[in-house]
Amino acid sequence: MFTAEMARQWIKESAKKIESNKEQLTDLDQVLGDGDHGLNMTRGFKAAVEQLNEETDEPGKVLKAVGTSLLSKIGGASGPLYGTLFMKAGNQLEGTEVQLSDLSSSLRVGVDGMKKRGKADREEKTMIDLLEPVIELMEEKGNELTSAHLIDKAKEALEHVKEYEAKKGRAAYYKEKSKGKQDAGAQSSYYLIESLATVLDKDGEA
Amino acid sequence: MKKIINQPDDVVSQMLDGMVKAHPESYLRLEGTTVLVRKNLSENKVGIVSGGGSGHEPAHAGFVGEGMLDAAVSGEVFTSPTPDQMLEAIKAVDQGAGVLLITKNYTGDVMNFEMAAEMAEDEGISVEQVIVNDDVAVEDSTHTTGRRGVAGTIFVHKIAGAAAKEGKPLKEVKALAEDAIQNVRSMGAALHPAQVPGSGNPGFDIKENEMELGIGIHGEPGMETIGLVSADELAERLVEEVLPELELKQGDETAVIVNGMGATPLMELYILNNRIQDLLKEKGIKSELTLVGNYMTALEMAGASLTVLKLTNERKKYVTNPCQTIAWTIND
Repeated sequence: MFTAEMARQWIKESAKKIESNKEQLTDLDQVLGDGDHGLNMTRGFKAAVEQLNEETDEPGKVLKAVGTSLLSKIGGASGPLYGTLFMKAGNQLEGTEVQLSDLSSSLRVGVDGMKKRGKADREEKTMIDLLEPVIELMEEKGNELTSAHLIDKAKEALEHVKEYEAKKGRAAYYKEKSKGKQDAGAQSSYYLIESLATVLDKDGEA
Repeated sequence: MKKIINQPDDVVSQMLDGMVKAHPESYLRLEGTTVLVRKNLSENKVGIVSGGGSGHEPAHAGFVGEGMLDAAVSGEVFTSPTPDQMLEAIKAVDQGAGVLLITKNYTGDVMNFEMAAEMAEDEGISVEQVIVNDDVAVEDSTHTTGRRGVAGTIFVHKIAGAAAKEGKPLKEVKALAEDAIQNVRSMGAALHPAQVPGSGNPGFDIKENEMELGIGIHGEPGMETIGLVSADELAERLVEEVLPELELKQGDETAVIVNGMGATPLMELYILNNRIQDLLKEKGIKSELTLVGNYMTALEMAGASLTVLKLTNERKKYVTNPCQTIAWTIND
């Protein structure tokens, strides 16, 4: 099961992780971008937590509202991308009875929306290189998904993305010099997956 | 780095309020937004909206006024504004004739403006978008983000604004803006980086005896790091890089911007212009209109860029006819 409360916990946990790693995200972005990813993501997720839909029992509604908050608060390229991910996924999830497999297929719709919005594909050193392999694994595991699956896959993806040459965003101006340096967006996406894993873990214990 | 600010979080909002207080006859700030709208919007004309991250002043809010923009949307420093803010700007300037959005080619700006355009269309407003990509320092390739939009954007504001003022419909205003984009090229160089308020580090590192050629307006690298050269040598290099794609012939007319990046004194910009104008003249190219000053800055980055717009009779008419903004005025 993936409940509305789990969706809220996911966002609260993400906001915490992003805020406590604000400096790291900004430092990574300083190298390949413009050094504001930590600030922008912290502002966006803080707003998402403040504007969380605490009333609903429908996880889709929670995620959709998160998307709207992120879209209007992050700015830059990350705003429309993370905004699209959560809005599209939220729209896809219907009702209160949501299984992990439903969450996977809704995130698939979300990440496809991001790819379209950013005109990005795999191996271009972006958030997609972190999120899509994880979502593929989620689709494969269905309701058998565990937090360990998520963490292992996300760690592996994070190592790969570091080696790619940037093709999108301001990082692309660094061309081959971008190889071996981590993408700030992939790193923040990693924190989102890590947070989701924490939420699944807690659910498992309960 | 020392700055005259209060809290880093407040810089954009306090700057906008300061602009309105300096020019209350020109601007309104839409409440609860970072949108500056022109006072006394002309009726029945196509609305022209631009925007982008802050830190490039006077771009873009300084170009709001008669004959140029109707509204400008300011994001956080060096960060694209968000679609909800852009939507407010679009709604505020739409007079029923539709709205043209002028975007610099940066991933965030393009995506946010696209989403705003979709939201406005949903509300029944006709919206068109043009993307300025005048920076020749970046290779134009379908595999990358493509060229950046820099100071050439000012000429696109001018031409689109003048065409809208003349009463052209949205499709024609867009076509004229696209035509301007096809015929404007720029390149810059930096001597010293800028530092975003609240950030602990300058945007890039550069040695005392070096300059970064082909710099972007947020300090992104362009072509190469070179040893410091004289103003005349820099003028030669910029002219050499900017002109070829414009395919100028003897006797062709141009409009030129020698743009300061924020911290470079006007004295140095004029010294640069001195050689640039001689070089154009030697090639038999006429400079019909020359702007020298800070038009598209990058906070306190030291450096300059050259923008050249190739003129036809039509482009010349739109780029030289009257406009009234705080950053650029051409009188009747």
